[in-house]
Amino acid sequence: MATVELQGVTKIFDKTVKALDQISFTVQNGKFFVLLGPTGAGKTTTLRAIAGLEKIDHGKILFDEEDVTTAQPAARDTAFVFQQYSLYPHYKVYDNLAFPLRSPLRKVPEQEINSKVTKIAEMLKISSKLNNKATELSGGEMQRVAIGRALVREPNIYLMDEPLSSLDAKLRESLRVELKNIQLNLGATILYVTHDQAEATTMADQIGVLENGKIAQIGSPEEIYNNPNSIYVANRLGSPKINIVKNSVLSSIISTNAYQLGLRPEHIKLGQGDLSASVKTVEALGAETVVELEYNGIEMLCLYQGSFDGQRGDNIKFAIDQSKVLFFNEDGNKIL
Amino acid sequence: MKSAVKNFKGLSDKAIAWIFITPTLILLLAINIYPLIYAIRMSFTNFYANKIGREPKFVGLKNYQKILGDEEIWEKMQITAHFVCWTLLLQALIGLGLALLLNRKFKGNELLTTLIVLPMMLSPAVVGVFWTYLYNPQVGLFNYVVNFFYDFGVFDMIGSSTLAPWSIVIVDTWMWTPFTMLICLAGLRSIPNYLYEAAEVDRASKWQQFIHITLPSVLPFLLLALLFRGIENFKMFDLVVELTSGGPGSATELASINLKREAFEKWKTGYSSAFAVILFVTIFGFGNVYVKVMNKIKER
Repeated sequence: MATVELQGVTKIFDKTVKALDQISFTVQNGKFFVLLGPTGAGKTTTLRAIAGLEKIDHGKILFDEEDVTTAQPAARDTAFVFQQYSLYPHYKVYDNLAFPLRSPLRKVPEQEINSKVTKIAEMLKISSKLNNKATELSGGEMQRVAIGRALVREPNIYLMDEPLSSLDAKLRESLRVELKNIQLNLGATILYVTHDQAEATTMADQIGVLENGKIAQIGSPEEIYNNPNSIYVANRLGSPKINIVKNSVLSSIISTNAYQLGLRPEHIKLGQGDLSASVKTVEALGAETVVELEYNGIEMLCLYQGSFDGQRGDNIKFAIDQSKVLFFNEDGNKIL
Repeated sequence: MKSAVKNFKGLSDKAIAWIFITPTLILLLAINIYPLIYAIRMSFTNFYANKIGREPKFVGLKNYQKILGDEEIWEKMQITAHFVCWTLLLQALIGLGLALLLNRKFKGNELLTTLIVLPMMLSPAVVGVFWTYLYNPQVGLFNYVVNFFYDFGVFDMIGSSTLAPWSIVIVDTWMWTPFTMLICLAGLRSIPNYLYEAAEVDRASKWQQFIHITLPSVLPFLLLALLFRGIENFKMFDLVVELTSGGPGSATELASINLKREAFEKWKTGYSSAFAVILFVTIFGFGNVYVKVMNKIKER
């Protein structure tokens, strides 16, 4: 495992489209780093650049301080889990898992291959499928095999491109936990790409938020959540989403020169304080309830602990936890 | 218009299916099945189609015994086997090779593909005739090109009984390699690029990528192309007749050419029917075994 560092990496497609613009970040050895961003932000391109599948136009890529910017994929020794499984269709699960170990650059004795494959298969709970053909598996099993094919190796870094995105919600949740456990047990360095904030916050040691090919912010999940440096970043994490309102809306209680304010739904306390709003919708989630309020002509989401006994049209008192309010300027950047 | 719709409304799905199938079925029965059964019946007689008025006599398995015991027939079968095996081998290797080259992206790729495919579109009779000119020992282009690389002196591809079997192999390969190439190319284009990327990250060599990804993906396509070519070449007639008419002597007299001579030059109708049945059973048998093997490979 290695520490992987990107320095000002820039990738231009078709001479005009800047897919990556001066990307710099470091994945520390043994850490789980998640790149978070919407479709088209440059997440996959970043991974492919690190693996060597995409040549970069400017910048440097370092593995343990060694420059690999121009090295071939095989020389970089990374493991890649692709979004579309990409299993070798003509081989059994066992041979798919053994494939990277049979590389001429590695020359692992067959006995060792066998013990490694068996171990990984057990870990990913696919032992019973080892003799199945790769094409005879369900989606979840295929993705386990794809992850397993990466895990049998001890590469410099594991690169994972939305590996869980095509699985159903239940399987995604359980694999998420498994993957984090595996990473902790192996002490693996993982760079993981996703647009799913739940995956990011549950697994990451560090999150890098990407915006149009640029890094918007890097930090721990807590930092990103509590201290986003722009509205864009604030919108990436948190469910229900953060409320962004103009300063005039709350001018009666907060005096500020900020243009916009950010209020997390859980920081709006219902049933206390002296502001009054009407209830628009009530969405019960079990342990908590999402309540949509209308105040001063704008809508705000708040998160209420427990079940909420009120309904559409009710008038309700609420307060705002002023110490948690975030302030942004006209461009959506944070004001200190 | 309206009444037609009305009429169709009254028909069941099954009836409509029969309406569509019947014309084909009648044609198939009339020009394939009936002659086949008729030929099988005749193969047990000593029928001569040119001897009008003479009642054919039932002779049992005598025709079959005669053919299977005839060394000359086995020679024709050997010539056919030589032709089929070599054309298939060459067309598989060259076709796959060309497909691999054309699967790369380069300028003029599509134009080149079109040019390579041209021979396949020509009439076999035309191909046969102009290759007799190309093979001409004195002025032929083929001999000129061969002698350009290594001086063999004057040689006659069609006239020599050792070279003639190779001359028909070369022409058939020239004409039909584009066919295997096209089908292999379709196979190659169906391989998703991410498999190669995965293999590259997995540190597989180019050779391993070929063995583990390219070959298994393209093999079912190649085998299918070879099945078509095998059946066609086992029945090969027109091209070879134009080129060598089975000569010199009977050096290139394929089974089908021999069959035509027995049936329509010597008019041994009963005897040649038996021979035709034997050829049919051979193709049918080989074809079935081949398809079984092919399906196994596909499943693997």
